Amino acid sequence: MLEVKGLRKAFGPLVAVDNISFTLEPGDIFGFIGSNGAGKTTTIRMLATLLEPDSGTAILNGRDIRVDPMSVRRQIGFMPDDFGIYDDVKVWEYLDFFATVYRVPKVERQSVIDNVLELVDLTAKRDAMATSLSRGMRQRLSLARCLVHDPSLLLLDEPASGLDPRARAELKELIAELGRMGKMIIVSSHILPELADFCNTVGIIERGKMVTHGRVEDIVRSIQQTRILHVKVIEGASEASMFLHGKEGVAATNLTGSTTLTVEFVGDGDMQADLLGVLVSEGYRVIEFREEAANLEDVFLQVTTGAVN
Amino acid sequence: MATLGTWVNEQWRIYTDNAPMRREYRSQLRSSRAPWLLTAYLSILVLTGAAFYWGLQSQGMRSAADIQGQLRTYYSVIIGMLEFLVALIAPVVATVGIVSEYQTKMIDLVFSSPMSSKYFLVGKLVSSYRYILILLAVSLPVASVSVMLGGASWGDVLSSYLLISFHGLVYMALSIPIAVMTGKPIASVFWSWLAVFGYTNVISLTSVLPMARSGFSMVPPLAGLGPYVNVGVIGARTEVFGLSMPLWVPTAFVSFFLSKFFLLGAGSAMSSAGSKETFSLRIHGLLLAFLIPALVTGAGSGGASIPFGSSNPAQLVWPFTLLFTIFVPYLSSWSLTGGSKYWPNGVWSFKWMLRGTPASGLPYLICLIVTACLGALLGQGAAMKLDAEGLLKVAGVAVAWAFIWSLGWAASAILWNTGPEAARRFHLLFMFLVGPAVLFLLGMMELATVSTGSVKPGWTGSVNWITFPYDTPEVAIAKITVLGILAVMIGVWSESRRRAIVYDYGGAR
Ligand SMILES: Nc1ncnc2c1ncn2[C@@H]1O[C@H](COP(=O)(O)OP(=O)(O)OP(=O)(O)O)[C@@H](O)[C@H]1O
Ligand SMILES: [Mg+2]
Repeated sequence: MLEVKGLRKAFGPLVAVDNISFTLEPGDIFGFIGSNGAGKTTTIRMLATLLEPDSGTAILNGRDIRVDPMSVRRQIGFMPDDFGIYDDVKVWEYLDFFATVYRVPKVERQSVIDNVLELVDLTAKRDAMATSLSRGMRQRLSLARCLVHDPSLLLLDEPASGLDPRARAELKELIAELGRMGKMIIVSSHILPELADFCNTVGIIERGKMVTHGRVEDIVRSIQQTRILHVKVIEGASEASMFLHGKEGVAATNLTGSTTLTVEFVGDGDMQADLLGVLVSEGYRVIEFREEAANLEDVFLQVTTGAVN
Repeated sequence: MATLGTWVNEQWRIYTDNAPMRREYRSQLRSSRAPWLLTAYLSILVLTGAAFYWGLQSQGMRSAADIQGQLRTYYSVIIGMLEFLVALIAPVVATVGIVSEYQTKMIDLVFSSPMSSKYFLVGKLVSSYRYILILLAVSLPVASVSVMLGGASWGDVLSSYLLISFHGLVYMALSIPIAVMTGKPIASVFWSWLAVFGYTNVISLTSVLPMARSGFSMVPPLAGLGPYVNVGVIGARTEVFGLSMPLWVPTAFVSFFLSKFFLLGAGSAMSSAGSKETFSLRIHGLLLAFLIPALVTGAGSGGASIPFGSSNPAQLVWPFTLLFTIFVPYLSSWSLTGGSKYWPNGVWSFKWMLRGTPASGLPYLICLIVTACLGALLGQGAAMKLDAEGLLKVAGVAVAWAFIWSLGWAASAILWNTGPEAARRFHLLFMFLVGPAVLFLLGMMELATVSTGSVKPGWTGSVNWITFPYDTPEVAIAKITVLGILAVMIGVWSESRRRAIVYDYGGAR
């Protein structure tokens, strides 16, 4: 479990990170969203014990990053936005370096290296020079490096930047898989769609301040007062539209086809279920009644002002 | 017991399962530059040897003793060249090892991993040292020519190589903190060369001067550290506190000690406030401040070896304290933007003295000076007389350094919002600007007293404001008072400014 409590960091007069707090549970994938210069990297570097906070701290599984950074480091896998790879080592030697540094026992090192290579799908490149890898492969090697010591928290600073759509999709799948393995993962990005589909929690940061954070659905719900419901009936869409008009929570209805309509709805889940109930009991043959997918992008644009430091 | 076991295991791991060391081994000879470097190095050696040999040939044959002498010279030239090349290459190898971590952007990964700075730095130093050993091994054929022709024995070669490898070790250790602090390739090589140059000259002076005074009848314990006398001290013995031993023993000891000290400097630079590296660095600094003057002044037998012809400890340590000029900016600078390491936590704190925060600077500096004087005292043994006058001059040194420190405090008070490096540079600048001015002032005071005739014959001629070596007590008191007043004035002004700044910033943290 990770508890971030009131982190603050100023560079001279500029407050880069201002009183940031949030909590993560095992398995949480935390999307850390903000525009350029919002303070994502600064926050992540403080969590990685590379920068000393001016005030505030974070506790990872009972260890304070300021009091006991060495034990925190053993539980962290940190992938910087601008990471390096030694230019004259082979892929397996690179991983061996970190396995040694992270005190993986000598007898287990080779199997650990093989496992993480397998996980990131780089087994074929085991003996290649690290510099010969493509950008996407390097990114995966970097991720493999974060995993050699089986950390409980992964800090990934813009892991998908510079990747093509395919590599990006693969990386997302990998991160989702790591989440299912019970790791806590913080992924930063300024590209929203990149995070929307596999993060279960998000934090939106602007000018060093956390504007909002929490479960994705909760945030979308709290911000997006009006939700769009897509309804499809076998017949009588226009009558259904008329029927729904004026019901509790319905702000407006829109006919989108002979059998489809959309409903702008303001209300909680119970009201939404009740609405479906009356529609069905009225005799309409409903074959679809769904809420439009939460749109993080809209939320982002709504909560931020676009101001930068 | 358990903690001892852990400690032993950890030390074992540092030397046997060291990831940076192994990585350097792998890549040292893999890099495409390695063969070129070795070829160039060998060519220089061979050319030097060949040029000298042809020179001999062209002179034609003379007496056997003459030839013997020439062959010995040939050997000295080869060893001298090796010393030079090692002094040139060692800083490059060591700094490249560190700076490449910055260049390849690996440094964040290194620092976010649980490796101790000792593990990292020892790995770097040992792998670089291995490179020096490779260089020496490769040069063996050139040196062996000397042995075959009869200019030197294998024992001589072993002795010379041992000294060179110690020198290489210290040069590398000295370059590592510089590389850590600059992080840039050209700058770190440049400053390292400069540091090696300064170090070799200071260390040679401290040993060669007393050696010369004794008419080369004795070899001081530190003589093996300088590169200029390598062949001259083959098989030499020295005396440490009356104990006779081969010269390489104190050379090895001091080389390792210095190397450890420099690595601790790098470790301290890499770590945050109050780290154990800083603590250890400061302890070792005190030990060195004691050891070096003790060894310098305690060389040889009795009073014959006293360098600089004085029995005043303050004067004995002045070449040594001169080195402080480099370190004082690190002790005096503070800043609000550099993190808690530089947070101005007061002007004087014994509690923090060994932990490296700004409040510890002045007490630590004073402590260093007193320790160095004590070391000089111990080294002198019976020959030392510490009378009231001696004590007065020791106090004078402390006041002079407090004055220099106050300049740094002022520099920080002015540049509190631009980071500690700026304050340090400003302090250095102050020293260069204010130093000559104060020197002039004190010199004028001395001249004034000369004209009144209060100066003993033969005591004039020095305006050394750091230690007042030749001053009469009256002049010394006058100078100390002036420096003291200046120090207090500058100190009070900058301290009040510091308080105001900290108060504005929201008080103590
Ligand atoms: N070492 C530093 N010195 C001074 N200012 C800094 C430093 N590091 C970051 N900053 C400033 O802090 C602010 C936050 O930077 P940060 O790198 O955390 O942003 P970010 O959210 O990661 O942006 P990006 O999306 O561009 O990576 C920026 O205004 C930046 O200029
Ligand atoms: Mg960033």
